[in-house]
Amino acid sequence: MKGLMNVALGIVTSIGGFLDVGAIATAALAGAAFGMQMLWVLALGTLCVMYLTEMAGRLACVSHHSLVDAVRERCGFRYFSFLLIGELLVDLLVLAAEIGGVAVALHLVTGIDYRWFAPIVAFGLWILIWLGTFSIVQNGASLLGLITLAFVVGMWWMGPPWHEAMKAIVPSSPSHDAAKYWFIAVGIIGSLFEPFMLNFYSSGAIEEKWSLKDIRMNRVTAVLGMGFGAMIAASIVMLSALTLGPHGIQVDSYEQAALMMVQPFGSWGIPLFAACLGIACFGASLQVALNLSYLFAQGFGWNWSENLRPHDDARFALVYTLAIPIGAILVIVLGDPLKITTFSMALNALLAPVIVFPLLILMNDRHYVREYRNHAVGNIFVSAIVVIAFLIAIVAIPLEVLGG
Amino acid sequence: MRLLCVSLTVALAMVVAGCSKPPDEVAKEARQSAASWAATLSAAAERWGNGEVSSSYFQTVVTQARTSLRKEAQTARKSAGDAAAAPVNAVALRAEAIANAVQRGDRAAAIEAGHAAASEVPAEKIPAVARPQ
Repeated sequence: MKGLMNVALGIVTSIGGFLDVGAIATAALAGAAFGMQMLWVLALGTLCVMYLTEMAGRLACVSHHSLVDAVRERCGFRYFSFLLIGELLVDLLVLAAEIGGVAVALHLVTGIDYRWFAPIVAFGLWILIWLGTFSIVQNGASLLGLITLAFVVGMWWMGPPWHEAMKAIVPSSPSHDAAKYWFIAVGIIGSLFEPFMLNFYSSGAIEEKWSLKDIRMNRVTAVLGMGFGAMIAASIVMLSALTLGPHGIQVDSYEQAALMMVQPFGSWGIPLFAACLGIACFGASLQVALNLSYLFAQGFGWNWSENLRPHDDARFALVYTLAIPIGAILVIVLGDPLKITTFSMALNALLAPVIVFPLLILMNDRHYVREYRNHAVGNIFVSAIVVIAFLIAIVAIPLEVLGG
Repeated sequence: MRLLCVSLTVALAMVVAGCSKPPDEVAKEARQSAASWAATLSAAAERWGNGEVSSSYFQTVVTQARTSLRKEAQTARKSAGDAAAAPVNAVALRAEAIANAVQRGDRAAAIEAGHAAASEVPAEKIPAVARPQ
């Protein structure tokens, strides 16, 4: 019974990890601009991220190393420094996008400028991490994140054409506006392959002392958790395709995206959208901020655990204490949270190979994972998706940035 | 490391190559943005008229539309001339009228101005099942 509870909690946690500002924004953009046509990107990316998450958990179960810890040990400090700089920059931008998401959610229900909320959200985040334990931070936010099932209910209520939706799982080229199509595709992949998520997942496994006996639970959690998360993201694509695109509404701001919930839920629509966005982003910003601390602490060999009191791992606490206000300042300075989000998700796709390839090396290294190594098919599948996403990102990012 | 350097160089080259955007492309994008905002204002005004969205949310949409349209008009005028900015300005004018209607609490006027904006610069409607090539 306890095992079943752990699996259920793990799945809920994974949904929380999956659905964040990036997933919501890119799915809404895709649905409004291209109907259901981009569901295949989500399906392909989900298969890949299920496998990657499972790998990160398996590494922790067998080797008792978190991902960053093992990468530094296996690839050396020089490579780790490169990874550290890349992930620091991208994670700070993602943190800003998540804080911006919570601030926009509050702005949607109050009408007050979102910039005023950024410092308040940042303080709330910091105090929760400072006072909370890993399970409070992780499970509390994830359980609240179940509200995002409202997207599934809304999509169901709209009565989507299931047959056409199933057809959209087969890859297809854009019907119009190729640069935008591929930029959104990269954004969707980037929102799935968020490097912070892999290290956060493996660090969580260490925090919760996973061992060989948890390998099966890890597999179930990765597959079902990511699967449920993908189902919610697919619901957003479909809801947006059914309610925004047919009216000619494109998603250039969160205010426009929020309209997708009004048709199925009436006057509850905007508050529900705001609650989904706010809670999902708050949960994800806790994870990103903590991951930055894990990154530094594991890389430099400091004491680390969210379960320790801050004075027992002062440098770990210092990193998130600095990162959170920087994220809030970025929201205020850069403005337009939706643009920060789409750009940071595309950068995630650029950074993905830097973390995924060392993970693949580790997962084929008998010294780390003994007989629990990867199959060749999985290695090839993950490598191909990551390389393709990286190449598309290189082409699509400049095109889309210059295109505004 | 060498692969990364090559990739970054390619990306930089593409940024430089893409710097000069043709004016007709700028005009097309300005029109698309104006049409999307017109459709948004029309839909949101109708929802506000039916009491499905709050006044504060509707005001937020109108403010956001006016800010975006102002920026879009500036960009279009600078890169492609006044003709490119014309549809954006037309929608911006309607947004102004909607903002005034919101202040007066006049729901009928807001709906009317929203519809006028949508018919002035009609948006391309994307079917839920877009036809792939």
